[in-house]
Amino acid sequence: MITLSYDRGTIILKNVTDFSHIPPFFKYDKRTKNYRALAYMYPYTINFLKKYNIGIIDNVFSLKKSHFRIRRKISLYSYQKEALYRWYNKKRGIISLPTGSGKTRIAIKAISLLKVSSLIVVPTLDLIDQWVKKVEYFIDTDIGIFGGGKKDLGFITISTYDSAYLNAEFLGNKFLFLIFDEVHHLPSPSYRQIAELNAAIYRMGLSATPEREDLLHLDLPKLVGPVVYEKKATDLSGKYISDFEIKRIKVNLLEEEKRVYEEKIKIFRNYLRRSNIRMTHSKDFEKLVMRSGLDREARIALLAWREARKVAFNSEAKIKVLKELLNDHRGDRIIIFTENNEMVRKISWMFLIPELTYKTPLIERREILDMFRKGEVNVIVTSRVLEEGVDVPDANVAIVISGTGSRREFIQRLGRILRPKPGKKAVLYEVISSETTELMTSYRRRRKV
Amino acid sequence: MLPSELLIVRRRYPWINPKYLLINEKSIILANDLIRIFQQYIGRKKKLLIKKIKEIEDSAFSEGFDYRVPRGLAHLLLRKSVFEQRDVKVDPFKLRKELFRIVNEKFRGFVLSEEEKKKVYSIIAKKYNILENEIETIFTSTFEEEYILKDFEKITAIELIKEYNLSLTQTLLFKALFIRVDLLLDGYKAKKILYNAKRLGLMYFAEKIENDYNIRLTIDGPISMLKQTERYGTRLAKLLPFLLSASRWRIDAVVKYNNKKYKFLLSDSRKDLFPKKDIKLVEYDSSVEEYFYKRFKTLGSNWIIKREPEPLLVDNHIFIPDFSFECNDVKVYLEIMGFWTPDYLRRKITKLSKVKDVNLIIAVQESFAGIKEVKSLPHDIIVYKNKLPSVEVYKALKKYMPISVKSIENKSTKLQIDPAVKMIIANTDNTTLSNLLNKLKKYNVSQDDLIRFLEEEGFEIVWNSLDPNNIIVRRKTFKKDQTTS
Repeated sequence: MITLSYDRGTIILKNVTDFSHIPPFFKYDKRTKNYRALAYMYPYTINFLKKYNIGIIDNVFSLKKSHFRIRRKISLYSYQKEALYRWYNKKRGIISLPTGSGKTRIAIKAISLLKVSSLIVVPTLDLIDQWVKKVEYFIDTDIGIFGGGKKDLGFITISTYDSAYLNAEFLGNKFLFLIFDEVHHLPSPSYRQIAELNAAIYRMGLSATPEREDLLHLDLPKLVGPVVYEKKATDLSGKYISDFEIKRIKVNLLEEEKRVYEEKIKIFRNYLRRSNIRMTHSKDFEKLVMRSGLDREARIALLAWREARKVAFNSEAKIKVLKELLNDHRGDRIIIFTENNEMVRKISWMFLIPELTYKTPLIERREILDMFRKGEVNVIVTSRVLEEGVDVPDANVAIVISGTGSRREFIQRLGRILRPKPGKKAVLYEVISSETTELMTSYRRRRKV
Repeated sequence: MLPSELLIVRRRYPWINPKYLLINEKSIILANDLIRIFQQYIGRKKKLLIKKIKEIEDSAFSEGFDYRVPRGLAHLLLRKSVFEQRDVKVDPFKLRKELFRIVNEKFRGFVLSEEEKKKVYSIIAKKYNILENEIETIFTSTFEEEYILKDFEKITAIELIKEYNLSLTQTLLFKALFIRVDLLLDGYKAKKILYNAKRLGLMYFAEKIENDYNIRLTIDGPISMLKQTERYGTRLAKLLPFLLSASRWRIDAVVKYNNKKYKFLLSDSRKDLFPKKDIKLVEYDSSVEEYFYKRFKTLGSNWIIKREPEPLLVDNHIFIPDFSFECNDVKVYLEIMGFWTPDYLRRKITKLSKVKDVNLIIAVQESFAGIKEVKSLPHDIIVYKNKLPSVEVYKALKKYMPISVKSIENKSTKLQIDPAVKMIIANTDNTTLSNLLNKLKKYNVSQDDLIRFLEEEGFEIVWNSLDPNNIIVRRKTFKKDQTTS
């Protein structure tokens, strides 16, 4: 009989007596002298062999056993029920709902129904924390963590994308159910291997915005399944998610800043003109960076560009505006976002507001978030750490000081204040410098909301 | 290994190569400058060190270096450095938490004026019994740039440059799809390479090649044959130093750079640019092998014995027997079966059954679990009880001995032993070899001849070490136990 086994992200067929029994997507491996396919072809392999009534010995999975008990009833809103129902049909696919609409709850409900060993993949360590808490609240079982130096396998295991990628060979045959939080990360050339090297038959993706600018989301149906349910923020706004308002504040650079900015930009533009470089594509910029390795002029131009950007992004005028905004919102729950870590530190020290950046030790990050939750702290300033999905309950003001102009980032940041709290109006301020190229990035960001 | 933005390459499609830092006066001065800075900055803040490095970067740039060269060298030095948090009176995290709590309590979230700030400071200062101007130092002491350089691992300029060149290569290999490497190497190094490849979760395909090298390995990972992937790049990079330890090497790889595939080629003609990884032949696989090796050496035959000889190829996999014996053009291999898991044993036997066109002797212990399977292998088999007797191997080797040598050896086997010596030995039991040699001093008997004679006379020689003081000579209690099958 044909034996199916698992080898580091692949499925191997052994004891093949009739070559017509080999599914077409298997390839001969001259190194080991047998037939091999990527692990995610497992369900298709089984279907093929069943269809032709070929007897098999299946040694693929090595599943962990554990106690499993539902602690509390997991109740769902009607749109959550509908989403789960649509997914449950094939037990594969993506649920697209806005941030703050309770995607986590849908996933936990799915686990409680399937009762199989599950792997949940999330973008950040903070999100691991959050998922562990939520799973623990509803389900009593053995929970494991991969990431942040931990490598514990549990009946339900929660991992970062990074750790799941690095340990894909090991994790590939330990689960029947895969859940990808913020699934738009998955199709990248490396992360997709988390799905490809895994034999799990049930798969769920969650995201507010599954689409990617590089179009790699077109591979998601293959990796997780198609979008089975989709609702936009506007569909749910006011009903389940708090209403929000966007206010945009243009800031003029201070005279001195303006002078420096223009001087630096001139150096940059002059260089481009002299050396006939046109900046139309991000690749053109890469070319400039490459050149700057040895070319003195290019290096000076590049440094000038960086200086100009820094001036525009971190303008003192913005600090002034921030001060005014803070004054207007004393007592409110505020999150300040800024791309630049130096700016974060500056704001933190100037206003004595706790900072949260990727440099903040995880324990401190946790405690500060906890203090924010409990109301012991009303304001935090952060760079990228809180970008995705981390629950920051009850914030009603967001101030975005600078950004890189990516659409997803903007939505996720917006989402931070969109928690279902009836009757609450949230405000998002976007502080940008006028007359600088930054205008363009902000325009790009808003266009797609 | 370096961050990818510090990788400097030279490209001419389809070729790509790191831009190596040559070992010359200019680069040695640069490396020395950086090393000196690190030494000088022990005890100072990291941010000051970083600032100083930037200065060196600038001056190196004006001397014609790519600024990524000093930055890369500094990166390696930073990795050899130990930074520590400053000692402060109060736990900085506690202080920060308390400070934010007070700000929230008194001013609902933040301070907007100097007066407000002052108020918070004075509360904190009183609470922790510190000065107001100490607050900032404590507050920031956990920030990485405020850390103090405590120590740094000494290195010479040339070592640093070589390490930099190795790191450049490894950084390029991060994006490698596979490595093909032609090697000339002995069995011990082959074992090290394969052991590490396996440990890293890599796979290989071996081929015999006939030129300056003896083996070609194509190294990648399980999924490589199904999809092109950079997944194994980092692991291939980690394997690189082991590959460079071979006596001859030529590396061939396909690497991705800016989403394009390039060819990378590097051979030992440039070996002086790289550090030499010392892989010393030290430990034995098992004490059985160690004992046997020492015994066989003292037999003084015409066979030249070698531990872990050059790798053999079996079905595109590498097989390294424990010993080889060479005499003129004849070569015989010996594999001693050790104690292994049943799974390993099964694989080993499958492997051994595929060994062809090679003279192979397999030694196996009587109590060995898979003895039946071993006996059915198409090779010469020696079954032994406790320790593998060198004499048995010597006997088994006889049939391979070239005829020309055989006749000479037969003559020389006749030991000319003085009857007086025989008398002394006949009255000996349980003594050390050094004692015996002492007694026989005036008869001019060599150690090797003596051992041979003792073995012929049925003495047991216990090799506690190679020192004659530790070698015990005693009469065997049972003589017929050690036999060939």
